[in-house]
Amino acid sequence: MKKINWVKWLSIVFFLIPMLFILLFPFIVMISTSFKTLREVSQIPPTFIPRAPTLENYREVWNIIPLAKHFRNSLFLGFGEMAIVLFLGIPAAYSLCRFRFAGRGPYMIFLLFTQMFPPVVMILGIFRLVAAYGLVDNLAVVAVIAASFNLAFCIWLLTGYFSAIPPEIEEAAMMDGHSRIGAMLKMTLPLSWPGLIAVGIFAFMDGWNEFLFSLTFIRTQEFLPLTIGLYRFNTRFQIQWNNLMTGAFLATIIVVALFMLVQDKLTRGMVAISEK
Amino acid sequence: MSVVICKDLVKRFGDSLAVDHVNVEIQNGEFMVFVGPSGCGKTTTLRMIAGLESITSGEIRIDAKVVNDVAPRNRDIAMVFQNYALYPHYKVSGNIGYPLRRRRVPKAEIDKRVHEVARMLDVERLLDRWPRQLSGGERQRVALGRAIIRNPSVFLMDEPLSNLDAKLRVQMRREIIRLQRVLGTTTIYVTHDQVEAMTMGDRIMVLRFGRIQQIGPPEQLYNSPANMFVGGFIGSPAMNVAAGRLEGSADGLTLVTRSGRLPLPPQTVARLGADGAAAGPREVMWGIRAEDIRLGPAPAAGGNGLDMRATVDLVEGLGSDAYVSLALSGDNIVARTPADARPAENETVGVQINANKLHLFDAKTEETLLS
Repeated sequence: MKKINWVKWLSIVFFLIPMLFILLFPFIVMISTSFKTLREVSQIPPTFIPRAPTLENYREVWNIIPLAKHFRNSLFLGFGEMAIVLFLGIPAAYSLCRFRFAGRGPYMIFLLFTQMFPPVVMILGIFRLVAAYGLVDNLAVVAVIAASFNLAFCIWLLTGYFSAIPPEIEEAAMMDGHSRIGAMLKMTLPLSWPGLIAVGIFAFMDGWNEFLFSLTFIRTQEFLPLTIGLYRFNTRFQIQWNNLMTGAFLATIIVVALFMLVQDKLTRGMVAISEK
Repeated sequence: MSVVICKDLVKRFGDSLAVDHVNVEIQNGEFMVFVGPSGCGKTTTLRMIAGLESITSGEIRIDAKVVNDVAPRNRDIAMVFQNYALYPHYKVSGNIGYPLRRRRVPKAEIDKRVHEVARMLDVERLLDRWPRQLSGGERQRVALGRAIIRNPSVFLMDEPLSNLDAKLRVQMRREIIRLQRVLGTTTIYVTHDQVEAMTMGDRIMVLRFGRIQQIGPPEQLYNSPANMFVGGFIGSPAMNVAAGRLEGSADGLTLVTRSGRLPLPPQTVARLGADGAAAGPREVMWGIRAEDIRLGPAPAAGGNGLDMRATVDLVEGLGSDAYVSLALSGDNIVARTPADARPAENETVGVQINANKLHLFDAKTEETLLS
């Protein structure tokens, strides 16, 4: 008879399952609440499984707020921030990684230093600047500002990925007929794509979850992202938890679906790189 | 095939001078080896020829054309790197054929050439594998294949064998020599291993602190080193060097060492020239190779050499030969003897130095005194 590994089973039962439950608890509550009525949500003691599950919240959320537009705006912010961060971050990180120039070390530290200011400290100054140029109510501006607060961190991340690629591979490509930029595009970028995807996802998530700048710079309903759209369920007199959780669930499911789409490739890419 | 000329080549990294006025002409089809210790500027010189490093001052010509500002891809040279630098995201066939793909050669022609080269390097069975699935030797062959497929006018090789184990290194060394002879392409090979330099190069350029110490065929460097550094760097074990004094006498010139006096033979005096042979004591460094020392019963007598007594410190057997470390009146020297004639450790032996094979260097400048 096969011997039972008690240590393994005990650690699963007493450590992993409780841990998993703690981690998933907010998500379980979110999903459960999205199928409850507002009345049931405010009931004491609270119910874990809805007594009378309903899809009414989903219909209501769709009708009360322009969910499709909010989705579109959030996607714009997510992909916009991702594009800006990658477009500016790749050449910056590549230069910092491959070229030796005076002040390179202090500049890297300076980049980190820029990350130390919470955006809210600068929001007033930025608002005055944006208003002076008449750029209030412009989603692209929100994407640019949000990206600028993330860029330094992403450059640091990308520098790490690029450093792992031996420069001789690029030099060999340059001998074989590429320019430096060609060698970077054909060798370094394809070889560091798991890093690019990681940074891209990070930037996308930041854009998708963007709240502060949208709340400050966007006035028109038409341009509000999902985060601010859902904020409307937080009214002066009550929080409509059922609708809020339904919106939050819909917002989360998109990101989860996107991640699942690239996860397999991401893992395989990481394994391939580690085998080099 | 091409002629490569470096004229007054200088490279600075900030305040440090990595390459100091290097002047060398590499002939058509020649196998030139740049050799020297770490940090001597050999790889930097190679990288400047490749176009991967900018030039501080001076000139590089390939076939009479100044290429200082020509991009690496337009110099018609191929390079093999120390860590092979294979493209991990291309299979072996993709790696070998890559330079041709960049030059828009038709696919059928690429396939044909890839198979030809792969056959030549015995990697045809590996064409469908990824670089990560290859051994070190196989990767090196693929890197060579990628270099030779487009018939470049110059090959540059930057310590291509240093990541291989000793046995494979000897095998690949022979293959590179054979390949270069077959293709006849001008080749510049960088190594810190003097054995590689001696066995592979038609000529060797020895560098130290960015400066050329000597350029010449291996035998010339071995038999007539230009200075003490070359004498010590080329050859294994290193040349024995000790302090001495040249004194003139009625019989001619005599080398006075810590162990005794050695009259210099006429041919050595003739090689000294007027300056070196000038009467009056002169402080020198004298050098002798391990194989130019004969060991015998103590004390050995007669012959054209200096008879001395020495104590055996250590004996290192190599199979056919043995290196014998000797304590000789305050100097430590190494002699090479046949293995079956090796003395025992702590034994007192007679040491006979072949005066015809003596090397004499200026004590201050360390330059050779022999022409």
